[in-house]
Amino acid sequence: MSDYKKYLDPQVVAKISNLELVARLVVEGFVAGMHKSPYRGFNVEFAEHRQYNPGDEIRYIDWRVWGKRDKYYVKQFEEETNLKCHIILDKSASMGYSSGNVSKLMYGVYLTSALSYLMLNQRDSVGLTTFDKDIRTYLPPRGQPAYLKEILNSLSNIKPEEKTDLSFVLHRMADKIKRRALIIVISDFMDDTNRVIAGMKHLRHKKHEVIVFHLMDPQEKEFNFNDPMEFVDMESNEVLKTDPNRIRAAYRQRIEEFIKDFKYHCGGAAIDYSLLLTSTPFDIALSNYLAKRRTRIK
Amino acid sequence: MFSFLNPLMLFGLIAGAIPLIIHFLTKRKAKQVFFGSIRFLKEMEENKRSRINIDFFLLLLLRILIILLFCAALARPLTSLGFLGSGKKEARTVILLIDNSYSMGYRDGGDTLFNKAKKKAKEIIDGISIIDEANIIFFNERPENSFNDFTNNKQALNNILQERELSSAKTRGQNALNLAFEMFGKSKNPEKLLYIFSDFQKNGFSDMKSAEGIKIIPVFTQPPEVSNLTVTGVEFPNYISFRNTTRISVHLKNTGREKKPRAAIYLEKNKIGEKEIDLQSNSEGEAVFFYSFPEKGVYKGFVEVEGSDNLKIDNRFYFCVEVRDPLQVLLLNDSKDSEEENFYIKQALFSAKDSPVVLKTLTLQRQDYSILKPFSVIILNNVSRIDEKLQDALLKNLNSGGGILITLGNNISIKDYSGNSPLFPAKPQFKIGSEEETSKYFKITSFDRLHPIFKIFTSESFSSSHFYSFYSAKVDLLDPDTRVLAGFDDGSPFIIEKKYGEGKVLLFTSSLDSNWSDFPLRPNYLPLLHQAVYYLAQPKDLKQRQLILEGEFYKREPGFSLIKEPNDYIALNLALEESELFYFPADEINKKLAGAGSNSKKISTVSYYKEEISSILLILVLILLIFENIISNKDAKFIE
Repeated sequence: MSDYKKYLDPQVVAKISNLELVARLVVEGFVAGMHKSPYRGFNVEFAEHRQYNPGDEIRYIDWRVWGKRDKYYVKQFEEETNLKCHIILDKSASMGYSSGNVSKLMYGVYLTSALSYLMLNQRDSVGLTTFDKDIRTYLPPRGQPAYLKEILNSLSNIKPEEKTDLSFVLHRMADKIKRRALIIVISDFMDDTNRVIAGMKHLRHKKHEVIVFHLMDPQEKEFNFNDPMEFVDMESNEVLKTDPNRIRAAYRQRIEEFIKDFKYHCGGAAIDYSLLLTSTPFDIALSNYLAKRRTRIK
Repeated sequence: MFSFLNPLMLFGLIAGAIPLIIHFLTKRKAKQVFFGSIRFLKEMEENKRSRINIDFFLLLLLRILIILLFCAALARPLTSLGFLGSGKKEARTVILLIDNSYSMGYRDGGDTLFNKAKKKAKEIIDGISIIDEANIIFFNERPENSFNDFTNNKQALNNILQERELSSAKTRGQNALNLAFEMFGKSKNPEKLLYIFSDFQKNGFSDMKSAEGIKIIPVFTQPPEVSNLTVTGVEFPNYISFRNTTRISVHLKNTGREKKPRAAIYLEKNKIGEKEIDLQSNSEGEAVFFYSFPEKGVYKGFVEVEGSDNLKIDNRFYFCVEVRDPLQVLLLNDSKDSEEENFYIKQALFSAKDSPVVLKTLTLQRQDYSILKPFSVIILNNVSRIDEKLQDALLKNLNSGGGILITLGNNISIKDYSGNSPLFPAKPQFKIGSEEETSKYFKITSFDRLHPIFKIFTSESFSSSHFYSFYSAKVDLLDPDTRVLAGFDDGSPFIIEKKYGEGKVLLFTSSLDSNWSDFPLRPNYLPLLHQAVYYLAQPKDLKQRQLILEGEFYKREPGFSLIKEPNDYIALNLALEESELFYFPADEINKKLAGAGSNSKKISTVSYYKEEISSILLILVLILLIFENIISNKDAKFIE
């Protein structure tokens, strides 16, 4: 593993307090790990020339080529996707759960940072929305590299609190975002599945592309508790006393069903779904994003 | 409904708490954990928790039940509910022999042995089925069946059981057995069961025998330890006259631990004395009271002893005593040395303190014998001969209840005395020994200690008296009214008694002065003479005023009975052998009953009519173990 690749590990990243550094290290680690870049570059790079056609913007005419060839050619660049991305990050109390060093929220914060960094470097516009039972932060998409600081600043102050009402937030966002955009939803989806799916379908209805990063702590999936315990719901503070040994198998089965069901509904609505455990390296999420971007560009 | 052959094992039921204790000891305090969302956990709980809880509590219950049932099985429970093959029962004939002698009134642990026996008998009655027949025989000295024929009416049997009370009679077990055997003879049922509920006193069951074809099941009600105080008797002087101080001796027996019981004496319902008696455990003792009767007549009274005691009925002893005028005694002599010969007799009868005797001395001169009439006792001291007139007068005196004491000496005409006079208890034959030769003497070596005149003496009482001379006497051994009361070491009789109508004659074959013996100089001379005179004066002795509740009187209660108006009573007292409380050990009784049909091994009261259900319980335990295994395995799989 190269020095950069190690930053794909959430456990390693968790030790770094500077979010900008985290974002850069993660993305560089991710890029270093790729065999072949799916794109021609990250900066605003020249891709090819084509003959000027009437109607093309005059500002894209390459005057150097006109000087040599006396013909009008226009430049084409990679960044021309004109992508606007909204990252919607769940900051409800349940996101604060952690069985190790990295909570779901922290994982979401790192992931959001990395994605933002990546997007801004690709001249895409990125915005941030945080929510719990309502929208708490809304940063509209911008494409300036300096906008990263604003996003990161917003992320650094985030704290898990309040209950989730994801479907409400999704409906609001669907109403709010007028132009077609890429919507990345990062949440543990501890809400009513049908309502959440309905919210996401609303987004799809507005022609937005939606990527879902379903965050889950490994313990939430595996439920490897042994002794009888009192489980306190981090959102409702409701207490439930149970013997994990007795319910583990059924719980695991139920969680699998939940994931499968959620994934199925996402598939049905042409939504990309990725389950990310807080132990999952960030490259999986980034790859998913890039794959989606590619389809969007094509 | 249930009883147990091995009830000690019931303490094992406490072990039923073990699963609970383990549950509480191993129950860990749940650690609190913050979890993202308990949404799915709640779903699990809703779906699984109830089943898990049911399984858990079912397991706990099963484990407790397994332990309880196992312990109950070890206690060998018996029931009359008929779990096992009740339809296979053969018709049975059951007789319950219930001892209601007064020793069954012994209190053991707050209840009488009789009530305990009744409770056990009730269990048997409750187990009787409709095809069986039964009868109850209450027995003491004599048995009494409750029904003329057998019955299966449980209600009637139970009513009889409740109604019957203790008697005041003693036990005779064999009489009851005989009646039971006779009753079984009327039954055609193949199974015959005889339950005997008793304390099995040795006195009442010494001659117990079993019978062919009858299962005899003894049910023991013996207390583990005996504690009893008994008044065994009240003793008065043989002759009681009014205004003289009378010595009343009360005999007590202590078979318990009480060391200082109190004895009180009542006369005509008034307490005339009370005292504490120092009486060691398992010993007999005596309490002496003194009383001066104010006038003649028959007095009724009783003695009562109080102390820690579990059988109260024998603490009271009733008595009747007749107080009479002072005793009129006439001393006759016709010898020339009469003064010398009468000396010791006069001294003896006068010198006793509070002696009821009024002695008159007369030299016989063949006078008018009507002077003899007022005397209760006439002593013929060395009277030479008894002519017909004297004989008639004496016989008249005897017929009216008087007594005659005859002593022999040198003055008597042997020819006269050895004739066919009905007066003499024996015929003097010839003189043995010589008063001159004092180195050769005879001793009194035998006497009837049960006779009233000898009751106060010990076997060694007369060993120091030397008799140098006496007359041999021919006793008619076939005469039922004649008996020898004391004899010399050569076998010759010393005192011979003959009953004549209401009266009595005592013949002393030696003289009562110091010529023929040194007896008058010995300490027993005076009491013997007094006892003889009192005895002769009594038309009825104290025994005749006592009636023991046995034989034909077994149904009577202790107390008094009027035998003649207006005031002639007798005292009724318990047959005290029943108070001894010596019990047959169970194995001895079983040995005695070990006949062909007897059930010598079984001592249990109810084992026959009740079925043992240990096997059922053990099968249940096995089934529950299988269930427990299935549920716990299912649970383990679920956990995995």
